Amino acid sequence: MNKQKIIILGILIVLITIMAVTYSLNKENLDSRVELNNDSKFIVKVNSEEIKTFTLLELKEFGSVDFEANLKTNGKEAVKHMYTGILLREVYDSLDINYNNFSALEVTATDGYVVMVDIKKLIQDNNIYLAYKRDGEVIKSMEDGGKGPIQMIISKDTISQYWCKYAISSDLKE
Amino acid sequence: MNNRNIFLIMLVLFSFLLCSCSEAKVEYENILISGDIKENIDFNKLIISLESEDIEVNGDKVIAYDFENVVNLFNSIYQKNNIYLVALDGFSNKFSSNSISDTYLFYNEVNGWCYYSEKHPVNSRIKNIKKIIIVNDTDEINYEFGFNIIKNDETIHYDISELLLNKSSIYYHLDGVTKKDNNELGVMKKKEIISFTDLGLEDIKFLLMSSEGNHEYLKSDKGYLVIDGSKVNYIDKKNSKVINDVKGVMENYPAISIMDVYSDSLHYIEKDIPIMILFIDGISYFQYETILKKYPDLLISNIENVKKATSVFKPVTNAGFAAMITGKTPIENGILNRDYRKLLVPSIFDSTANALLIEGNIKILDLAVETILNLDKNENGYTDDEIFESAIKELDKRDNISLFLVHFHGFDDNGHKYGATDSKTIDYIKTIDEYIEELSSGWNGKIIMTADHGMHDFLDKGTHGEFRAEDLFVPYVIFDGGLYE
Repeated sequence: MNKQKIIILGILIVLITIMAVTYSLNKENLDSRVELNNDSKFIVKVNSEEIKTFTLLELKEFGSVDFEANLKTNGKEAVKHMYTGILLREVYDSLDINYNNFSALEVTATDGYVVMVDIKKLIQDNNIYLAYKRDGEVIKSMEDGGKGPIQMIISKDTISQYWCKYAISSDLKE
Repeated sequence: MNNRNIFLIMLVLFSFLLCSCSEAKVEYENILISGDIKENIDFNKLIISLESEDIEVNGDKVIAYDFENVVNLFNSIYQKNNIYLVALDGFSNKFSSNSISDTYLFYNEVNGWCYYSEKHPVNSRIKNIKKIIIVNDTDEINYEFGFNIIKNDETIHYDISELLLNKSSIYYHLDGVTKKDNNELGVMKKKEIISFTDLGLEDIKFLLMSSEGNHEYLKSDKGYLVIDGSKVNYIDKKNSKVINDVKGVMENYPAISIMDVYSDSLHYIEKDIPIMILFIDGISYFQYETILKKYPDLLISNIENVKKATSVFKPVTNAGFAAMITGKTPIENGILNRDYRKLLVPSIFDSTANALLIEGNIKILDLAVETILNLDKNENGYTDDEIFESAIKELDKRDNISLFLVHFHGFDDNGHKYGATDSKTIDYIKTIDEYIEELSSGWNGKIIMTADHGMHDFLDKGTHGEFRAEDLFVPYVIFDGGLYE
């Protein structure tokens, strides 16, 4: 191998190394973000009493599904998005809680926002979800300028007025 | 291809990779972009995001940018604009935004930024461009941007471009004083300002509001306005205090503000007089005046001393509600708009242990007070009937409530749905009036009735959140409950 070939090979190795390091740094960042979101807590309550706290990772074990919902912000037309999340009903089912005996569901956010929705919406098939991805992207936390890591979505509502970003708990009310 | 060529190619690729790792440094002089744009722009950052092309100017090849592409990145408020190019020496050219295709901006070290067009007269080729002003060329008015003056219940709107082109003057601002021995030197800064006199506000006191939640009572001769790109800032002449992003000023402002709910409630709580706050979301003072004329027999029309009060900016529920219960301006209580929920200061609910809040199906602010949420159980499209029933039920159940806040939402819902002046919105007051009559007749204490914000018509619907009289003036009254002696 002559001197020039060695130099070319050297440059190639440097280039590949730079690319590999950059990829690894980005991947590490992405992995840590997903891991961070997986640790996010969601509390399940009944009449204000805490029943169980799930991590997002544990919630995902109920099985994630993709669903469409209309996001409508003030003064703008509704936009259809594809979300990924867990059906909230299944979380209550896993705890043997019969939501049919309740009248409302209250969902609370980290910023103190609370929304009450009719229990009929929870009972309705494929309706209330705890979403963690929108259009394939992880829903970022409030600190990162997002609406997550968990966002409560009522998929069958025509507008998103009663969704709950930064959701941290749900509470069944009699 | 021999090894030497391969080596050269690799070297170029490697250099390119290295260069792409660091942000490109552009040594262009900046251009100030001002006028009717939605937000401030850093021209230098914007220009590097655009692709350049080589054009020939007077036989020389120059790197140029398509001027239409540049302007398209300005995020103009209005669809059609005039564009003013202002040179260092003050020479300016005006172009219609419809006529700038196939024209260019280019930079050279001698003349700075220059304009080049083959389709306009040759004197369009302005050099040393320092400022570009985007000027509304439509009949539209957008109160969300620009500057507004509320005068005698009317809102006068000024686009930023209008202030810049027709109202600004040069002012030498005292920036500081230096001293050597006994010789003093005033250091002056030349500023392009808008005086309140030029806006017809000579020697008066006014109320100024900003997007940052300032709510200040000022005198017109004590300060002036300056334009910062797409925004208006207020500067106090004496101490150079700056209030950023001023949305407007109000002449002859009402003496009462919705922030008085806090002090008025506290006054009665301290005297052990129970207080009920009837919070009718989204009713403007002008809608109340319509109700007075249309329905003179309603209870709400016969309560004496209903005053006009100011809301706060931004006139939306989160900010208005927070101002009511804290007695503080948005900048003080931390609730500037719908994105904020956590108060930075105590609320009236912290002044008594026996407080109760009756709400719709949403808890709007993060409050420690006991809150009863209500669903639209009968699915009639409103939560007000459930709120009313819930309020009556709680009053029957408890005998020690010292602070009772009932928040009705239907009037605002109808305003959004049908329009502020639509009869379906105005007529809904009859429903609320029945609730008020029943709640007040059984109340042994004082009652405050007011709103968080008003509402204005927008297309065939209603909206709020702007600096305008319809959104910022609401009714305010204190009256006795039916059992109060």
